[in-house]
Amino acid sequence: MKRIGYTSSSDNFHDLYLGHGIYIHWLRNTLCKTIRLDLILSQAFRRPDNAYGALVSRLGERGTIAFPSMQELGRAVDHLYGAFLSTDVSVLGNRHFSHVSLEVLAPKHVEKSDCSGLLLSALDMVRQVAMEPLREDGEYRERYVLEEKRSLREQIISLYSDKMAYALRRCADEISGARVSSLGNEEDIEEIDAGRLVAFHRDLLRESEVHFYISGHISARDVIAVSRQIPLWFKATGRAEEKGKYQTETPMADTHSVRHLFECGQVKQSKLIYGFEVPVAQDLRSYVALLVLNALLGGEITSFLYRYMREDKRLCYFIESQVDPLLGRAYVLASVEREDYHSALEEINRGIDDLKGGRIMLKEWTRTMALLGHRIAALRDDRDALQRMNIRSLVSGFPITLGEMEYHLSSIRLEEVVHCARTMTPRVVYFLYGDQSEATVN
Amino acid sequence: MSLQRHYCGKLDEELYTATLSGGFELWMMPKKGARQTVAQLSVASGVIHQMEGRYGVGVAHMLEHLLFEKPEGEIAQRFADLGGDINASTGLEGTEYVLTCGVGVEECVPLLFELVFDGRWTEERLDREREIIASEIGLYGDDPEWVGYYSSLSNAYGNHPIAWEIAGDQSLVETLDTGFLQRWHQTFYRPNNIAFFVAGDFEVRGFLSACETALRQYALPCSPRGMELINPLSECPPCQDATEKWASIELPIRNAQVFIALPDLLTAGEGRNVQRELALELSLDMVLGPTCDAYVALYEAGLVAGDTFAADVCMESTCGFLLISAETADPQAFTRETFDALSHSFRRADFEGDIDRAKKKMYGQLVRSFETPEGCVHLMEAARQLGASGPFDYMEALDTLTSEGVFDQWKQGVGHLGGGVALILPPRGGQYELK
Repeated sequence: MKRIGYTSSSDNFHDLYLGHGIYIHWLRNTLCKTIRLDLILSQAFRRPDNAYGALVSRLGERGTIAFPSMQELGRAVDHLYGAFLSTDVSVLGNRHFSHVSLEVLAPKHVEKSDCSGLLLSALDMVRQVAMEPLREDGEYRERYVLEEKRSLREQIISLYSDKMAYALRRCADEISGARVSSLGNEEDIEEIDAGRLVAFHRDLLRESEVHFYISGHISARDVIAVSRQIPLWFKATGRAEEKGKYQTETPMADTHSVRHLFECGQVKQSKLIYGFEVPVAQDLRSYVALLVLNALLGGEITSFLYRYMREDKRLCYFIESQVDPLLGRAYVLASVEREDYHSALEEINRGIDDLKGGRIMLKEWTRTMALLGHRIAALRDDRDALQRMNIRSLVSGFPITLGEMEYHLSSIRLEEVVHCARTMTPRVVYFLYGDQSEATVN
Repeated sequence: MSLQRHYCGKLDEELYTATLSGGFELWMMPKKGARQTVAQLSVASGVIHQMEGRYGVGVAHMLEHLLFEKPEGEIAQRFADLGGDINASTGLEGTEYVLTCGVGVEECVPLLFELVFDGRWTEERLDREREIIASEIGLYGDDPEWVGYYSSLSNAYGNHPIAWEIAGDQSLVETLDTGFLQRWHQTFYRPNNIAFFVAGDFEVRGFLSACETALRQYALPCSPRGMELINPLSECPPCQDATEKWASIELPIRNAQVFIALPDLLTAGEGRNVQRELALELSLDMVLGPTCDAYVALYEAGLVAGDTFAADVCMESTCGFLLISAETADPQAFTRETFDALSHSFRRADFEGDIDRAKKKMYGQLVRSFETPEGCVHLMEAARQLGASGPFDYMEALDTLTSEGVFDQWKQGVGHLGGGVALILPPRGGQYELK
C-alpha cells in the first residue's frame, strides 16, 4: 500500500492507493454514532453512458442474488439496526460517479452480540448492491428494467416542478451548449438497450476508478479489514494494474456575447438566472478566491445582492449566488416579479460592478470572512462535505483540504477577489416568467 | 434555580436542564469536541396563538422579520461579526431563532437575547417588510409541495388555523400595524414563554451564567399585569366525516402530486406524547414503509414516480396528523390504493409479525438523530413540545412499546380514515377524473 499525493491532515480523509485503480479513504470521528461505507465508481462523463449508469444504479436497489426483491433487501438492511442504504449518481467536472452508501450504527450503540458482525454484514451489503444485482439467465430481470426506466424518466421530469431548479438547469445548458445530467436525458433512457446493461455493468466494475470511503466512529482494525476486503471484490473483474490520472478540461466558451432567453412558464413569480463563466480553479488559492467572491456577491446575508435587491430595493425575497470553481460557472438566482426584470438585472450588475471596482468596505469584508471561516470550520464534523471535498480533490488535480482552505482564507487579499470578479464573463440571462402580468419583457 | 443532569447510557449523551428567572427554560446538551454549536430560542408565538381575538397567522411571522431590524441596522450582520449564522422560522406553535456557530457560543448569547427581546422598529421598516413578505408569499405560490401541504390540511381540518398559511396573505399583512405588533411582542416574548436549547462544544456553567446575565439585561419583567391571556388551542378539531375530502389544484408541473393528511384523533383524557409519536411512526413504517406489500404494489404498478413517496408523522402538542405524499402518473389510483392499504392495516396479527424489524429500524434512526448538534436541538424541542422530560425519553419509550400498544394507538388514532386529499395536477389535468 502506498500513500498518494493528495493525502492530508487529520481533519480530512486519509487516502491509500491499493493498486488496480482502487483507493481507500478513511476518516475517524469519535463524535459520530455511526460508520458510513461509501463505494464510488468514477468514469469520464459520456452520453449515453450517464443514462446507463443511472439505470444500473437504480437496479442495484431492486434486488441482489441473495435478496432478490427490494422488499427482501430492505428488510435485511432494517435488521442491521435501521442501517440506511442509498444509491445515486452525480456529475462533477467531466466525471460521472455511481455511488452506493450504507450507514450503520457504531458498535458501542448496539447489543454486544451484534458488535463484531455488524460492520462486516454492512460491508457485504454494499458489495452485493454494487456488484451482485439480481440476474435471470444472465440478464437483468426484464420487469425491473422496465419499471426502473419509467422511474428514471419520472425522476427527470419531476425537475419541472421546481421552477427555480428548472430555470437554473436551462441556463446551465445554454452556457454549456449541451445537457450535462447525471441521470441522462429522457430520450437516452428511452433508447437504453436492455441487452447492453450487463456488459455496461461489467465494464463499470472493470474500468472505473474505485474509491471506497469509510468514515465515522471507526477503529484502525476496521480500516484494515476494509482495506483487505475491497481488492478481493474486484479480483475477478479483470482490472488493469494502473489507471491514468484524471484530465481536467477547461470548457471553452463558443461565443462572447450575452444571450437573453425568455420563456413563458405559467409561474406566479418569475425566475431570473444570470449565468457567467469564470476561469476554472487551477489551484486551491484560486478556488478559495472564487468562494469569497460568491460570498460577497450573493452567497451570504452580508452580500451585495442580498442588500441591494432584498433590503434596499425590495425586489425579491429570494436572492442568492452560486459558484462552481471546477466547472468555471457562476450563477445569480432571483425570484422576482415580471415587471421588475430590468431593475433586478440592474441591481445584479451594480453588485458585480462594485466587486470589480473593489468597492468593498472593511466591515463587509471582515463579516464575510468571519462567516466563511465559521462555515469551513464546521465542515470538520460533516462527513458528507469532507467526502465531497475529497472527490473534488480527485477531479481538480490539486488537494482541497480544510487546513489549507483556512490558510488561504486568512491570507487572501481583496485584490485577488477583485481580479476574480473581473474575469466573470456574462453568458446567459434566462428569465422564466408568468403570463398573468401585462408587463412586457423586451 | 437548580441545574438537573440527565444521562443516557445507550447514547452516552448527557442533558442539563434549568429554569431561570421568570420561568425561562434552558436545555443543554454538551458535545465536547464538536466543531459546530447550535442554539435555538423557541418562542411560543405561532399561528395558533391568539390576542385580542386575533390569531397569530401573519402576525407572528411579521414579528419574526421585524425583530431582525434594529434601529442600528440588521442584527444578522452583528452575528456575522462573531462568525455566527442566524436564521428564524415561524410555525403553528412557535417562532424559532436558530444560531449556528463554532466554539464560543456564550459570546453570541447577549446578541440572541437582544434579537428577541428588543422590540424596536420603525414604521418605514414595517413598510419594507410588507413588501419583502409579499414577495415571500408569491414565491411559495409556485411551490407544489407548499400548496399541496396546506390544501390537504385545509381539507382535513376545514377553516382552522392549522391549515392557514403562516405568513397570511397580502391583504392581511397590509392590516398589521405597529401598535398591535408591539403589544403582541410584549405579550408573547416573555421569559416564561420561551425555551432555549443548545447543543455543541460549550461549558455548561459558563453558558448558564451567560444566559442569566443576558436575561437580566434584556428580558421584560414577568408582570402579570402586562401579560395577556395566551390561549393556544387544546386540540385541533379535525373534520369528523368518515370519508376523505378531495380538492384539486392545477399548477404548471409535469408529474401530478398527491398529498393526503390524516388527522390523529385523541380520545378524552389522552395527550400527545413521545410514545404516541413513536407508535404512529412505527405503524406507518409497518403499513406503508418501503418494505411493505402495499408500498411495493404501489411502486410496481407505476403509481409512485421515482423516489418521491413520503409518509411522515407530524406531531405537536396541539395536533397530530399523518402526511402521505407522492408524485404519480395516476393520482386517483394512488389515492385509492393508499386508502385501501390503510383500511386493511387494522389487523393486529400483521403488527405482531413485523414489530421487531420496525423497532430495530427505529432504534437506529433515533441513535443517528443524536449524532449532530442540530439533530440534538431538534429532538430536545420535539420532546419538550410533547411534554417529555428530555429527548432521551424517546429511547425509553421505544423500549416500552409493544405490538399491542402500537396497534391500539394506530387504530384508535387514524382508524377513522377521515382525511384531506389534495391533488396537484398539471395544467391539462382534466384527464384525471375526481371522485
